[in-house]
Amino acid sequence: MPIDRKQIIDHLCRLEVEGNENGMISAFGVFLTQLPADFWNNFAERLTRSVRMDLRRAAEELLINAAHECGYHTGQGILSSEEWRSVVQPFVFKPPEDTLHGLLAVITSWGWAKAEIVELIPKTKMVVRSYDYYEADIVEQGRSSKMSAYMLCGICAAFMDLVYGDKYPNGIHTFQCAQTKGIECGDEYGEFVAVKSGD
Amino acid sequence: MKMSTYKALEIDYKYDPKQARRKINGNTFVFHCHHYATLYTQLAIDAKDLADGPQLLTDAAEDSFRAWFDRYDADHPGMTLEEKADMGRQFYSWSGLGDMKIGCLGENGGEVYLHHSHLDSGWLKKFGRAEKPVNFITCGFIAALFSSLYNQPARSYRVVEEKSIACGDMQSLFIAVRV
Repeated sequence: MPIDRKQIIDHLCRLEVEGNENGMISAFGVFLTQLPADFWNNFAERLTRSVRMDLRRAAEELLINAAHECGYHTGQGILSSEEWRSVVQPFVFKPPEDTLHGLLAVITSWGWAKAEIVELIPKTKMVVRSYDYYEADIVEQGRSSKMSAYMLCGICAAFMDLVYGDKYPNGIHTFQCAQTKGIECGDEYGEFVAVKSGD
Repeated sequence: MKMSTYKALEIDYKYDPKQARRKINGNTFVFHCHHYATLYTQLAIDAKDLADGPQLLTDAAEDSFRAWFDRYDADHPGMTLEEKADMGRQFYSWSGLGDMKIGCLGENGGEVYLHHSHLDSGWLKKFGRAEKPVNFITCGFIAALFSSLYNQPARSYRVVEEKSIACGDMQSLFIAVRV
């Protein structure tokens, strides 16, 4: 039986959190914030468009790395959480591949991206398509010449690290990811291809 | 749709399944962890030779939070200055950014304290003690709050972090000055 994305998303999208008496949200082993998506977009877009063209790729790699580390540590927190055990784990019949499908369902419920895996070669390659993601909001009219879903790139690589890399916390950067299509560039969906680092 | 109230702050959360977006009062909000916030901050510092990274991060925060304050203000007409300031403080806390106390405020500036801070706690957890204050996101937040309270355009207030939890101080102190 395939993983039931709809049921997972329907359950987890109801999650509402707020800062405690100290204004802190501690969950999944990390501190969380819930902020307007355009804050993150504003900085990423202004940074990548401020630097000289020959330095843009370096700036983009740093943004992707921030997401990669975030995805790796928060992803581990998700996998260790009670929510995962109660909501997602019952659908994980074929680990670790079902684990990846479950993680993509979780981030869909979190509002990061309406994303699913369309191709998965165990231990080797994952292709994710996202039919909506907040990082595409940087373009309101026309098409961008640069792909801008740095967060999703980092997250996809991080999830492959968690599932196929060395045991946490030693498996980070086993995989890398490239964005090959982008809604912000006029494509129907964003596409992200994660492969082993160096491939 | 579910309505909830964080003290006096009105929060209307709903999930849009068509877009897979979390909407707070109609605006797209996302969760992110302290790794992300601190690495963005570190990136802003490291990018000083490429662009003015800390200022970019401060300005990005100011513009985003100002837009939020203005929308909230439009949806809740008639709030007093005190109520608006309290809304800003509570929003800071609700969002997980920390525990903010406004020491004083006036049209020419003011003093804002943090007793707990997402960015500073995250920084200490991830990198250890900072040599200089690093909470550019909160500088932008406070600039947005002051300019919104006094109906001034963006960049009307310069905010400097004088004390910093990440640097070892018991509390962070931000000084806002009208420019």
